[in-house]
Amino acid sequence: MTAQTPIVQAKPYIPGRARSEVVRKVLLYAIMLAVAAVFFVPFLYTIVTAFKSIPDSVNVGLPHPWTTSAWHLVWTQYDFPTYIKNSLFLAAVVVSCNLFLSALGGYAFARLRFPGRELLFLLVLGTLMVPDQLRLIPIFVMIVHWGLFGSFWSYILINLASAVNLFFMRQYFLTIPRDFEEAAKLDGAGYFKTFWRVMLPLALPATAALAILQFQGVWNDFFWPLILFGQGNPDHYTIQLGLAELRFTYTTLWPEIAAGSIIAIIPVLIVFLAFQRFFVSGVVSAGVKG
Amino acid sequence: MAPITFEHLTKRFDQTTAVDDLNIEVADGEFLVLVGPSGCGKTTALRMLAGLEDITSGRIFIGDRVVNNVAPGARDVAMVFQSYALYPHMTVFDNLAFSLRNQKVRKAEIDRRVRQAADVLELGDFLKRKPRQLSGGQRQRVALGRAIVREPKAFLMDEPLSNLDAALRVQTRAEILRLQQRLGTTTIYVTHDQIEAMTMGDRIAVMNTGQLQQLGTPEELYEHPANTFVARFIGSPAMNMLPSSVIGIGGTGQLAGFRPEHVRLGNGHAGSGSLDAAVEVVEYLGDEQLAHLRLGDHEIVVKLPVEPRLHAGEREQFSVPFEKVLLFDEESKQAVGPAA
Repeated sequence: MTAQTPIVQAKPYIPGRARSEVVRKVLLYAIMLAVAAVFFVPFLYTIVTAFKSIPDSVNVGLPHPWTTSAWHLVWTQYDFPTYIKNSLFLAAVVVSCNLFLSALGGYAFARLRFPGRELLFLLVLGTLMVPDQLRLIPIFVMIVHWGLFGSFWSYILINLASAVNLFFMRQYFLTIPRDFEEAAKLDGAGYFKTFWRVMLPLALPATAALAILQFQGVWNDFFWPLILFGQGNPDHYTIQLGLAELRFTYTTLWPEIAAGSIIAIIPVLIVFLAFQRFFVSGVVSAGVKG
Repeated sequence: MAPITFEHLTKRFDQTTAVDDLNIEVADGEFLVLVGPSGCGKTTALRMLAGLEDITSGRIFIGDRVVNNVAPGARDVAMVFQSYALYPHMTVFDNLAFSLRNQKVRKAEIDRRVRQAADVLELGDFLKRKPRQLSGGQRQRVALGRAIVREPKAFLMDEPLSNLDAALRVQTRAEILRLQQRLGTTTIYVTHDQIEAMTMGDRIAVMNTGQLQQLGTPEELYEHPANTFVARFIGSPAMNMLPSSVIGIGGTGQLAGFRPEHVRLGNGHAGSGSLDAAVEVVEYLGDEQLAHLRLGDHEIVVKLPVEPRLHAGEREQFSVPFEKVLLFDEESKQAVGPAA
């Protein structure tokens, strides 16, 4: 007779694991929602404030009554259309010129061999350590001396090239296999054609990522527009200078600032949404491979 | 089409000599394979010919023109890269047309040549596609197409089949050969795969540590290897090497080399050396079997008919016909000659 082996029920492993997985997910989502709220609540507050009257703007909560007067004021009395146009013009010119030159320089530093390349690259990187405030006076003196003070060209000239973008592009070009360039060389393309027709299109993710960051940088820039156009030159005001106009010594038009801020965000949002696919892959690949 | 000559070609990277005094003359329309293990200098030699690598010393002729200082694009050679290097943002048509546009060829002529190449390579349906929308084999054909539209003096191919699976590799190997025979263009083909070398090359140049070991037809290399490196590199499984005394032939300080397929089961064959060996591993291949044998400190591989079957652990007698044995000097590793 064989001994009966007691049947031992195995512990339900998978369901237990699934339960702890649910708890983990709930916690994770709760934390993420809390972090998202930190960013979103001020934004929500801005949207709500944009529909309040000035006396109502100091109250917390929904507008009472809802009004679009702030929107009307910024659009008609403060000439926001012109500010937006100016900002768009500057952003478009600066982004295209800066990206072109950064890519060109980045490619040269990544792939071309020329005497003094390393030293020159160190010098370019060295400029990253000089803050804008330190460059302010020499640049201001030069701009005045060249008769460009108050013109759009002064701003464009200052932002024509940037060491950060050049460095970013160089790192990206370093990740692109040499075979493409060598194939182009054998196909009879010169340096510029290789850059323009082969390498730059391959660096599209990095270029798109920089385009967003640069656009955002120019769009949100207050410092240089204030220095260059802030001295009674309202035709050249950018959106950030326009927003600053809504704040006075003894009072601040909070609903108008809120409405103006939302208007100011829209173009950046459009650019980001249009390029975000490239932006993410650009940052990732440049970060990982570079 | 043009002959190509490497004349005392040398390339050094700092302290390393990648290519050492290479001398090869490639005839007009010839298919030459440069073969050797990784780091033997074969790709460096090809890249110097393409103009992608500077030459330390020596000269390269394409036709009767020295091209040492000629830009890659002006050498009139087309290269097929191991990675294909197709421009990913361009369509197949644009990939094929890129070099012609750079040469300012007329639009109608570009169109004609691209479509002709596409017909030859059966790429007609894919001209509007981007490389990422193609399979590995199709990409390979586009890479070939990019070379042939230019109608260059020579094709340079740098391990173009290494990214393909085994079946496609065999098929593409034949396609490349057919194409080369049809166009009659001088071709230099780099590979580390000796089977590719044997099946494709009119002649094969075997390289090792930057030096040319032997240059000859596949038959010459297989039958009369110049040294032990070539003897073991060409042929699969590799040639067996034993001290000549083990099979009772040759003098002292000599190695006896014999191919696995020349070994027979059983002893007593006239004009043969006999081997008493233990069977360690048997690889059954369907139509034949590979047996790994141990003779004291030595290991050899033999290729035998599938019957009678050998089994691991058995001890058997084998014989090697002396007429199939090659002798090598043990010290210099150079071939001495046939044993009989």
